[in-house]
Amino acid sequence: MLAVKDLEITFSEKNSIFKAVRKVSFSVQAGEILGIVGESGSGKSMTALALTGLLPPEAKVCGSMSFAGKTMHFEDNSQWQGLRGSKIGIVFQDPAACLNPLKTVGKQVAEPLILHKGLTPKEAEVETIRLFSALGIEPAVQRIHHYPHQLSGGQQQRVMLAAAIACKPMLLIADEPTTALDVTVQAQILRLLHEYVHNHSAALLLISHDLGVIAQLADEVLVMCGGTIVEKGSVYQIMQKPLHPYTKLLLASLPRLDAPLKLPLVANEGLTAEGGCVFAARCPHYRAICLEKEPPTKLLAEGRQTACHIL
Amino acid sequence: MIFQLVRRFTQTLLVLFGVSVATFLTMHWAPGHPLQANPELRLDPTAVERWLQLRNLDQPLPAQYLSWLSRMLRGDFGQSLLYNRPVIELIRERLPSTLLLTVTAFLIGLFLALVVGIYVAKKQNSWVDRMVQVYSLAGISVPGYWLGIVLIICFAYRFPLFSAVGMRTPGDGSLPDILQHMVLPLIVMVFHNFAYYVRHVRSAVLNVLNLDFVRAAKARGLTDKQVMLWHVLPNSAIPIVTIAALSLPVLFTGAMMAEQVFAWPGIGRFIVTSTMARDYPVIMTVNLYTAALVAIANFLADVLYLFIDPRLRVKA
Amino acid sequence: MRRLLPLLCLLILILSGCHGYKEHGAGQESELHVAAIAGPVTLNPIFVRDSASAEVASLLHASLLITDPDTLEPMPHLVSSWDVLGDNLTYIFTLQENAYWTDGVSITAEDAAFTMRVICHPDYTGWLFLPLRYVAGAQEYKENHQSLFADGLIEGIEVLGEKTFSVTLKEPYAPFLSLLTFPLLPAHLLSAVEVGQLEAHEYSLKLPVSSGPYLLAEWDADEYVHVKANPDFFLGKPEIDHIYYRFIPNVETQVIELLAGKLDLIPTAVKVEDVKLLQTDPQIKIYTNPRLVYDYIAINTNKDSPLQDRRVRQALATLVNRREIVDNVLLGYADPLYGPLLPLHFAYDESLQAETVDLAAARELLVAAGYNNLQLNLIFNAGNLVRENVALLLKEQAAKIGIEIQLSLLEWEAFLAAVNEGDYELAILGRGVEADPDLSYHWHSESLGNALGYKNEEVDLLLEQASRLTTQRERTFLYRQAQKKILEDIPAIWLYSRQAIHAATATLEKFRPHPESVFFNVHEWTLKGGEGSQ
Repeated sequence: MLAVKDLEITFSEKNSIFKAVRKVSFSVQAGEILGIVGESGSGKSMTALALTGLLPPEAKVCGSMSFAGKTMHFEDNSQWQGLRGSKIGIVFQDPAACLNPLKTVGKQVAEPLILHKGLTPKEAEVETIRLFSALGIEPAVQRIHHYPHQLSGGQQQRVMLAAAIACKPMLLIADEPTTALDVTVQAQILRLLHEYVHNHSAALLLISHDLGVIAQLADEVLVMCGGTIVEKGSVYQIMQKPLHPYTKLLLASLPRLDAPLKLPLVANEGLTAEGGCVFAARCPHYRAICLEKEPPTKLLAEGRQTACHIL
Repeated sequence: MIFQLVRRFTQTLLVLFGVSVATFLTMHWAPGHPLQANPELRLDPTAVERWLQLRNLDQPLPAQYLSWLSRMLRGDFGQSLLYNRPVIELIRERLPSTLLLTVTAFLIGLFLALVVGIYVAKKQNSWVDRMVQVYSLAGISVPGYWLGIVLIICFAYRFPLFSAVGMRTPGDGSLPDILQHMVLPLIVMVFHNFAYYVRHVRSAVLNVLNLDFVRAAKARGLTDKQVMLWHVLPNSAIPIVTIAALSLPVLFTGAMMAEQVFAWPGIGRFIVTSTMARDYPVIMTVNLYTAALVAIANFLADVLYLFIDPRLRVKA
Repeated sequence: MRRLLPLLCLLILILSGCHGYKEHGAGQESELHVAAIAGPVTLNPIFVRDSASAEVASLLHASLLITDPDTLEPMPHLVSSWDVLGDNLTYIFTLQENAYWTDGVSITAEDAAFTMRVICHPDYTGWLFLPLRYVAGAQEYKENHQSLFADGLIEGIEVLGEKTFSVTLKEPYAPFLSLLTFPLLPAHLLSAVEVGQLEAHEYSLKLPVSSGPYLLAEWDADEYVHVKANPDFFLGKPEIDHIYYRFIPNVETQVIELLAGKLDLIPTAVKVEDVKLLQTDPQIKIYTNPRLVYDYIAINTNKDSPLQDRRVRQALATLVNRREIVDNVLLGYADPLYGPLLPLHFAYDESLQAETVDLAAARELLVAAGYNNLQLNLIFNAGNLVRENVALLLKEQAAKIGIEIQLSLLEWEAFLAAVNEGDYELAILGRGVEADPDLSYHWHSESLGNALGYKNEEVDLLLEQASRLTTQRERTFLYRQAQKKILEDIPAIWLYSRQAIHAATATLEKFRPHPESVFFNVHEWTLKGGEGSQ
């Protein structure tokens, strides 16, 4: 349903060029949940934004993308406009910041309904109440008149989710949907996401820095580091038999669910790997070649792939 | 809520009282009196003493202040020492022409600033944006007096399209006549207003544009226009309302420079001449009136904030 | 925006099309637009203190006497003739037979008596008592009159008939007639008003009744005073039908408006720098006339300072080059002044013109006084460029003989305070003087106007003598003597007397400014073709 090929995102300032994402390719099928994991700065959020046409205007996007059988043009804003909120729903990280503080949550959820489905405000309100009940925002009839600051973080994220799925999108992109929430609330939100995918046979792109979250939900997992995909495989493969040293490090940090991810930032001090492997500077197993040459993507059995010189 | 209002009101009264004492003292501590304020006045020293006596200006300061205060509390703002007429009457005569000019300039300036400010905020760092930024700096620093004279030379002399003096042609005073008299002073005032407002509008909108909920709104499929109208502008309103509210007292005290250059018969000029003439009752009244306006403007701004932002409406 | 632009253009077209400046009424009623820095504060002629009110008053009111614009000698006006009785104490005045108030009531001797009683009343706060204090019984009336109204009688003022009255003085006072230049109040309207209430009375604002060449049509708070010709004026209806006295506080705007043909006259206060520009326009004519004002440097001798030594004062006086100031700073629009008598005064001494700049002599005087070098401070008020230049010139000159002058430029309020409290050594000041050369007001030791505290018994005696004499020849002799004595004492350094500069449209004819009043002969003015300039 969604296929991305050779996605590249570049930011160029006066005289320096920064590649946030390089040569990323993947695809998602209906009913499938694809997890993208990686630390902050790995390019996973940029990828999500690119897939919705929401990148800041100074970002330059290359590559090709097709969605529901149509080729998408990254520059064509009106094409995205029609899809966002109707065919593609998006949930962001910080629900408190993502809700307009001056409008009632009901109004904000109703927006896509009025916009894409052509409902009258009255009909949209009824639909919003239904959505709120379905997502456990109770009492829904009153809640729609509340302002964001009157809701808890979990409720706010449910509201965001309600807005994202209001028009029953085929693709749901959830960018760190639970990061800002309590652990107990996390599970509820993840369950709601899963229910939606299950009930509507939609595709879900779940983006998180937390392998634990990914492990709960995803079918397939992409591990991103430094703007590239370093490893890809089924959730079972990644969790049980990680190949790439970076994935192993991510896994190693997993048991402390409640603590922020702490990867050694500069393990190999003084190393620069310009043009080499993106992880070389921190890799415990690096060799000379890692510093000089970008590792090629190796396709392995059962659809796995990885990019590492030492394997 | 009521407690807050009462507290606010008391604060305002205290401020007004402080303003009145401060004005009174500074006015009376400065050397000289109204008849000495103008070197050209022809005076008889004995008659001047009688003049002071008849107006109780020979009394000790505290007595003068108390009598002024008691009269003021009864709604009597006294007589102008210069014009020998009730101060209120003099202000009332001049206020409408001032409001006509200042409110129009304010509305035009704010409207232009909103249109242009929003446009350049969207096109941040484009050449239009850069030009507007340069202009908003220059516009504030260009002396209005100079601009006024240039306009008069251009449009009242070289190409006599508009009148440069006063509010109406003597003997005329029809609406179109007044309007064409307004054009040049308005240009000068809007030139400044706009420069001042546009940078505030621009930065207010820019601040909001970078917030997460704007992206979230776009993610729901709203067009740029809808995002701007439904989400960005309401959130930019608070700083803009603040700026607008701060301008409110100025609307009522006139545009001294424009009134001076274009001989506009407004209250700004009146305040200047009264101050130069040491016309105590007028200055006292004007200061109180300005202080009251500032208080009212602040109060209005607070009410507007409540109206705009639900977070402030929380019952304490 | 694209939709707004044509609309905007249309608006500009409509608005610019509709300013029919002066078009209306052209050919029928003539209009004169006169510029003023400020508006009047009162229309009541005997409470006038400022120059704007005085100018408007001269349009609306007729004064008892006027002075000749060249010789400043008293001439008949509302008073058609007068007799002086032999003892030089009693004057008998006859009012114009055909002089009426604008409500049709005849102007009578009672109006004159009433007006003078108001002026002598204890609650009167204008300045006109100064000329009337020589009237017999005036001082007593001022001190003893009990009623709040200007009733009762003043010993020296007697109504002799409907149009005749007499005024008797305590002692002969030569300048008396030249001071009777104030207008009258209508007794039939105001005699029932308390004198203390008169200044604030509606009459000062609305002026329902007056006596001058023009009547009040409209006084618009801060825009203009519109007056129209008085058809019953006793010298005949003025030629120009309407005069708009317009308040334009900014002089640059005034000049541009005159060049644009929207103003017809900028009286008195055209800046010397603007004259050249205005002269380039053939439609504009420049008029000048001497005035009864002068600027001078006051020397404070009441404080313990080197200035108490006459030689130091003389050293300073020998430094000042008046000719240079007049030519370079005032571009010739002034007369250099070497003493307190002005060129307009009949007693003016033309021989007193020699420039005395002599640095070597000044240095010698300083050394003779026992000073090798000296520090003095000079105060002057901000906003007067001419005085600022004078201060700089003096500083430069003084430095050459070892006197260091510290300049302090003060805001008017602070300047005034410093002058009043004598907190200065040198100060640049200006003052106005009377039409009569009588020097008493500023130089008699007991005069209220003696701001410098000057005291010389010989001068006092000469001035007292002179004011009692009647022939100009005798008085001239005494005033010149008094002036000589004053100059010997060097209480001040006289600088210059600035001229009034008027700029008028070339169509204005018979404009003849008087040193004391620009509207002196306003009833004779005409506009060529009977309309304003274009």
